[in-house]
Amino acid sequence: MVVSIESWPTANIDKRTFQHAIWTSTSRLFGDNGAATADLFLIRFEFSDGSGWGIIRTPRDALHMAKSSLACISQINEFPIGILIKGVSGTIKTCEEKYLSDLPTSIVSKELFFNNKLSSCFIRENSVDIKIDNDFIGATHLDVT
Amino acid sequence: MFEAVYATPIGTSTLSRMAATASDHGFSGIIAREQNMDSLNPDLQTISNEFEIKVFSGFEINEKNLSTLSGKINSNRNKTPLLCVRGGDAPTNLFISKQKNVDVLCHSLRNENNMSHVMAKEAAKNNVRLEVNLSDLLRGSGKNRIKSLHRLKKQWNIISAYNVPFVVSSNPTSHLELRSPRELMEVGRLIGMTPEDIETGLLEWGIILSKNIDNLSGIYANMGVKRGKYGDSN
Repeated sequence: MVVSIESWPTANIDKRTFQHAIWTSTSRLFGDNGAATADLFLIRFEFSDGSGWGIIRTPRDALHMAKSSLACISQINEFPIGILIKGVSGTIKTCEEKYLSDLPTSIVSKELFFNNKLSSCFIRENSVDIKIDNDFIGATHLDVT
Repeated sequence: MFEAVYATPIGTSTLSRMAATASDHGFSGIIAREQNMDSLNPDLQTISNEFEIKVFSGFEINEKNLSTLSGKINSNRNKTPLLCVRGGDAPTNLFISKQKNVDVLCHSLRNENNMSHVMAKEAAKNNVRLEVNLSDLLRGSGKNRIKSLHRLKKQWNIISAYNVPFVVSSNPTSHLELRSPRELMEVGRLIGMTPEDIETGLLEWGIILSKNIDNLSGIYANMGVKRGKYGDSN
């Protein structure tokens, strides 16, 4: 199963913390016995500048448990997390070929105007994350000048 | 399938970012739930064209006083294609479910025992949709999530028993809180909803919008009476 992961640009998430978040979410929803049945194992993981992806292994019979557990991961290391299950496939090679073709591009940092105020922005394609004080606002190229 | 979102200033993502993410997630449209008529986004068409997704703006009333609430419902009905009202305790929920002018009763499970068969029957009679709000299930934790799970199961039992119209939403306040329809279908299983039920609930937003947009466009002279020439069957 391939998932794309998104957060704010300052988020610091490594393979170990993401694996831990998956196990915690599964055991909270289905108990330890359910987590053992779902057997979610993070095979590959890449994350930098607030965007990344992961390949997760799970038995076919436990796919519905895996999907709901992943959907319920909302925070890691106190950073909000957006998760999208890109697709499911039988082998890692097919997963990579089918679902990892559009990898996130690198981030560009710029000062732009948002709501008539100059703010520091992190731009990735059409997405713009605007830093205001210690918080972020998610925007697009339509919202900034 | 539609998702009803809280964009800035209520949420932490702008409507355009929500639209971009919702489009990636496979939604056909989004609705911005505004709590202030002045903050309605004027660039819905631009956002819609840019991210190839339908974008609408709705209004959500948050009022505890029932007599003021009644006035607000009537005064805003003809200004928006989607009128949601926040519920709360049992009397407020019952009052809202009796209002024919309300499209959706949202956030109705704030307290224990505020979902009853009496209210469900009234909602079904007046075609007020009950919102199945999956936000606590997706983003809650501990005691609150357990309670929320229990209430959602009870709500779904009543909705299915009395054939109450319903909508489904994850109430995202940021693009990071959006979850795709397929993921919501899997989460819905936890409260006894089938993937088809979740799909029905997500499609219902679009049905409400198309009906109300027709009504607001003035093509109907009265309930069920379409304007046109005599003998014109079209």
